[in-house]
Amino acid sequence: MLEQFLWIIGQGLLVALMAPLLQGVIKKTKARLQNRLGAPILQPYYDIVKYLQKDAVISDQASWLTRATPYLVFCVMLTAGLLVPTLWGQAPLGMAGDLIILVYLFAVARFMTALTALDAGSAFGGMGSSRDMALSAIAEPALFLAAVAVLITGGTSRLGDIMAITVRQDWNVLDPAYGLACLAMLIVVIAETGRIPVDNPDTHLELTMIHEGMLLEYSGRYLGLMVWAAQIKQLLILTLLIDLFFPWGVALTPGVSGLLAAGAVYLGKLLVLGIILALIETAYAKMRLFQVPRLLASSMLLSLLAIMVRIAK
Amino acid sequence: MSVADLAAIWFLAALSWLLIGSITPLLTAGHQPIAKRLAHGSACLGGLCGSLAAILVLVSQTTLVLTAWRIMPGLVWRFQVDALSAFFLLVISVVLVAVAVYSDGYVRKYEQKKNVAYLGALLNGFALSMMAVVTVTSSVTFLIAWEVMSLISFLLVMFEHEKEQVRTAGYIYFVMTHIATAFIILSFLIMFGFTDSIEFMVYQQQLMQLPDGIKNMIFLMCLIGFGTKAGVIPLHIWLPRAHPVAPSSISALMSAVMIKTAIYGLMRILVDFFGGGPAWWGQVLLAAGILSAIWGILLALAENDIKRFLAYSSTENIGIILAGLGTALIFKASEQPVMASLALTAALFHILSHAWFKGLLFMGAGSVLYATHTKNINELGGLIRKMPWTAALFLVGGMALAALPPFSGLISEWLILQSLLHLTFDSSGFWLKIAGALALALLALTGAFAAGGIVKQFGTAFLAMPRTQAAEQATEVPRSMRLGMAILAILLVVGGLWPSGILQLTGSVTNRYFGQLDGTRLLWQPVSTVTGGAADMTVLAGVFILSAVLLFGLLRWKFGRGTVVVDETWNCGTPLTPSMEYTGTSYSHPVLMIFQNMLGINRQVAVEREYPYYPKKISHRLQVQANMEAYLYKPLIAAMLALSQRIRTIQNGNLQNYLAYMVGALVIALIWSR
Repeated sequence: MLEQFLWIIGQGLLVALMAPLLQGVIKKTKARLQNRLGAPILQPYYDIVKYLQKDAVISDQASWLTRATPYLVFCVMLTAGLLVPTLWGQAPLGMAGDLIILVYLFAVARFMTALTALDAGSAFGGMGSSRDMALSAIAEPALFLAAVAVLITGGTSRLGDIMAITVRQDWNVLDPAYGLACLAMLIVVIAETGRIPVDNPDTHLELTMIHEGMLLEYSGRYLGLMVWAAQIKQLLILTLLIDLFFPWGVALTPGVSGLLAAGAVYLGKLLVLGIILALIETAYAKMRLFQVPRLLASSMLLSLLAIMVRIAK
Repeated sequence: MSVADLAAIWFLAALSWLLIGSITPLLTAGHQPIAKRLAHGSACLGGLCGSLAAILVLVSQTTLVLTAWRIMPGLVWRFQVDALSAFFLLVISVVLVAVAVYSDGYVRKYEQKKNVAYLGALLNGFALSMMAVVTVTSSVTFLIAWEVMSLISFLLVMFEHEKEQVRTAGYIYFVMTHIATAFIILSFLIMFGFTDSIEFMVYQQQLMQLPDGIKNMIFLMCLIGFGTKAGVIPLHIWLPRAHPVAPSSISALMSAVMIKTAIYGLMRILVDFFGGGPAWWGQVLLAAGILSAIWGILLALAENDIKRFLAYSSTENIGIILAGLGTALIFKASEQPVMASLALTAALFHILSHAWFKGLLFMGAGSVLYATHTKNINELGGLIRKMPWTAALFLVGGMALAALPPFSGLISEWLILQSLLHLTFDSSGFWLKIAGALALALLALTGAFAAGGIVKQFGTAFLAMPRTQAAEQATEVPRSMRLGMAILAILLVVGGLWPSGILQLTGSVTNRYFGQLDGTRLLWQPVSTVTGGAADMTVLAGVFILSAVLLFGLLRWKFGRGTVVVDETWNCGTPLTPSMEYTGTSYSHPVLMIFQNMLGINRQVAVEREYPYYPKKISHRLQVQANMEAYLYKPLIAAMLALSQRIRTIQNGNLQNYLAYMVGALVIALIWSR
C-alpha cells in the first residue's frame, strides 16, 4: 500500500519535474542549430516559477471556465502521467486505465483548453481553438492506428503488458511493420506536441498559431499552469513513443539498482528524441494549415500498411 | 410475493399511470393548469414505476407475462417483459421521468398560444405506445403499437403546425416513417408465411431453421425498415428535419428514446429470433454503423442550429450503437461468445448513455430556446453568465456526448473501441482484422469531431459576448426545467464513475443470448485469453481530485493567493464588439474545408472593393449541399413521380371508372372462388 502510494507520488513528481527539462533541451538544441547561444537549459523552470508568482489579468467577458481550466488541464495531465510506464515496466495506475483512457484524458484536456479559448471573446482564441479541434481530430485516429500496429502483437491495450511482451521478444520485433508504424507514430508525435511542421510553438502570429493562440488570454498563475501542462503532455507523448517502440532498458524486476539504470536509459532516450524533434523543427518549414491533414493521412496509411504486414505474418 | 409479481405490479402501475395521463388532461382541457399537472404528474409516476419494474426484472432475471386483452381468437394482446424488453423499458422510463419534470416548466412557453392539455396527453400516449412496442409479444400487436407510436410522434412534431417549416418536416417524417413500417410489415409477413404464426415465441423456436435466402431477405427488410426509423444514413433524411421542429421536451424523447425502439426491433429479430445469423449480417451492420457515425458527425459539424446539430449527432450515435451490434453478430457467427458479449454490452451501454445525454442536451437546447426564442448559435453568446445552471448542465451533457471522462459516454465509447480492438486482435480473417482497425480509427475520428462540435455549439452559444438583444436579455429557466436536466446529468456522472451497476443490468441481457461474461467485472477482467484493457474511472477521478487539492494548496502555500485583475479583452487597440467574435460558421470552417470534396460544400465569397488590397466588405456563405440527398433521393423521387404518372391512367378520379373496377374485381373474385 505504502509502496503503491510512493510510486504514484514518485512518478507524478518525475513527470511534472522532467517536463520543463525536456523543453529546455529542445529549445537549446534548436538555438545551437540556428547558430544562436540560446537560453539556458533550465530556462523553462525559471519561466514557470515566474508565471506562478505573478498576478493574473483576466478578461471582463471571462466566466468561471477561465479560472477553472488551468487547474483542470494540469491535473488531468498529471493523472494521465500516472497511466504511462516510465522507469518501471508498469504504470502506477496501469490497472485503472489503458491506452484508450490515456487518449481520452488528453482529449478532455484539449476540450477544456479549446472551450476556454472562446471564453474571452477574442477572435485569436477562436482561431486557435477551431484549428486545434480540426487537426487533433485527425491526429487521434492516426495515433490509434499507429498504436494498434504495435498492440496487435500482444492483443492488449494495456501499456505495461505490451511493453513486457515487446521486451521479451527482444530484437525479433524489428521488421518492416515496426519501421512503418514507428514513422507513423513520429508524425503523430509532432502533431500532438504542436511542433513544426504542424504548428509553431514559438509564436502566436495569426497565420501559424494553433495551440499558442488558445493560450493568449491567460496570464500569471493560469498561464504558468497551462504552459507547464503543455510541457507535461509533450513529455508523455514522447514517453508513449518510447514505451511502444523502444521499451528496452526499462526495469522489469524490482530493485533500486535496476531502477537507477532504467532511469538513466529513459533519460537518454528522452534526450535523443528531444534532439530529433529539434532537428526536424530546424530542417523543415511550417506547413500550410490545409496541408497538415495530408501529412496525418499519410501517417494513417503507413500505420495501415504496418497493420497489414503484422496480420499477414 | 415473489419478485416477478412485484415487478408485474409496478409494470401495470406504469401502464395505468400513462393511460390516466393520456385521458384525464383531455377531460380537463378547459382548465389548463390542472390538465398540465395531471399530464406531467402521471408521466413522471409512470416513468418511475416503469424504471422500478425494469430494474426488478433485470436484477432477478425473471420474465413477466401479462395477458391484457383477447382482441379476437388467435390474437391476444399480451405483454411480456424479458431481459431485452426490460432493458429498453428502463431506457424509456428513466428519460420519461426527466422529460415529465422538465415539461412542467417548458410548456409555459406555449401558454395563451396553444392548448398544452393536448401536448400533455400526447406525451403520455407517446410514452405508453413506446412501452408497448418493446413489450408486446406478437407481430400484429407490435405493428399496432408501432403505428400508434409513429402517428402520435407525427402529431407531436406537428404541434406548431402554423409554421411552414414544421409542416414540411412533418410531411417528410410521415412519409419516411411509413416507408419504414411498410418494410417491417413485409418482413413480418414473410415470417408469418413460413411459420404460420404471429407469436414471437414461435419465431424464437422456428425462425432459425428457415432457408438462408429467406433469412437474408428478412434481414434486409428489417435493416431498411428499422434503419429508417433509427435514422441510419442514408435513410436519415427525416431525422434532422423532424426532431428540431418538435417541442424540445418531445425532441428529447424522440431522439433519446424513440429511435431506440428501432434498435430494439433489430435486436429482437436478429439476436433473439435468429440467434445472430451469418457473419455478413454483422459486417453490413458494422459498415452501416460506421458510415452513419462519420457522416452524421460531419453534417452535424456544419450546423449552426443547436437542435439540428443534436439531431445529426443522433444519427452518429445510432451508428455507434449499430457498430457495436454488428461487431457482436460477427463474433457470434465465429463462435466467440465472450467477445460477442463485450460488443453487445457496448451497444447496450451506449443506448443507455446516449438516451441520457441526448435527452439532457435536447432539454438544454430547449432551455436556450425558452430563454432567447432562437436556436441559431450565431444569434446567441454569453449565456453562461445569464443562465449558469443551464450552461453547466449542457456542458455535462456535451462532454458525455464527446465521450470525455468522467461521464458515462466514455465508458460506452471505451467498450466499443475495446470490442473493435478485439476484432483486430482475435477475429479470423485478414480483411476482418483490417476492418476492425479501420472502424476503430473512424470511430476515434467521430469522437474527436463530436468534441469539436460541442466546443462549437457551447462556445458560441454560451461563452463570450451576447450577439443579439435576445441573448442579452436571457434569464435562467424555471426550476422544474433545471431539475429535469439535473436528473439526467447526475445519472451521467454516476454511470461514468460507477459503471458496474449498469454493467450488471446489461449483463442480464448479454448473458441470456451470449453468456459467460461477468458484467460487473468487465472493466477489470481480461475478456479474452490474452489480457484486455482496463478502465477504472473511480480511481482516476480520486487521483485527479487529490492532485487538484494538492496543487491548489501547494500554490496557495508557496506563492500566496495572488490577485486577479479583471480587464477588457485585448483586441489590438480597438474595443471588442460582438461582431468580431468567432461565429459558429467560422468555427467549423477548417473541418469543412478539409472534407469539402466528401460533403459537397458550396462556398461563396463576395468581395466589394475600390482598391485591390482594401476590400470594403467581404461576405462569406457556406452551405453543405448534402451530396447524399442529391444523388440518392432525387432519382428516387423522380422515379416515384414517373410511376405515379403511369398509375394515373388507372386512377383518374372518374367515379364511373372506379365502379367499373369494383364490378370487375367482384367478377374476378367470384370466378376465382368458384
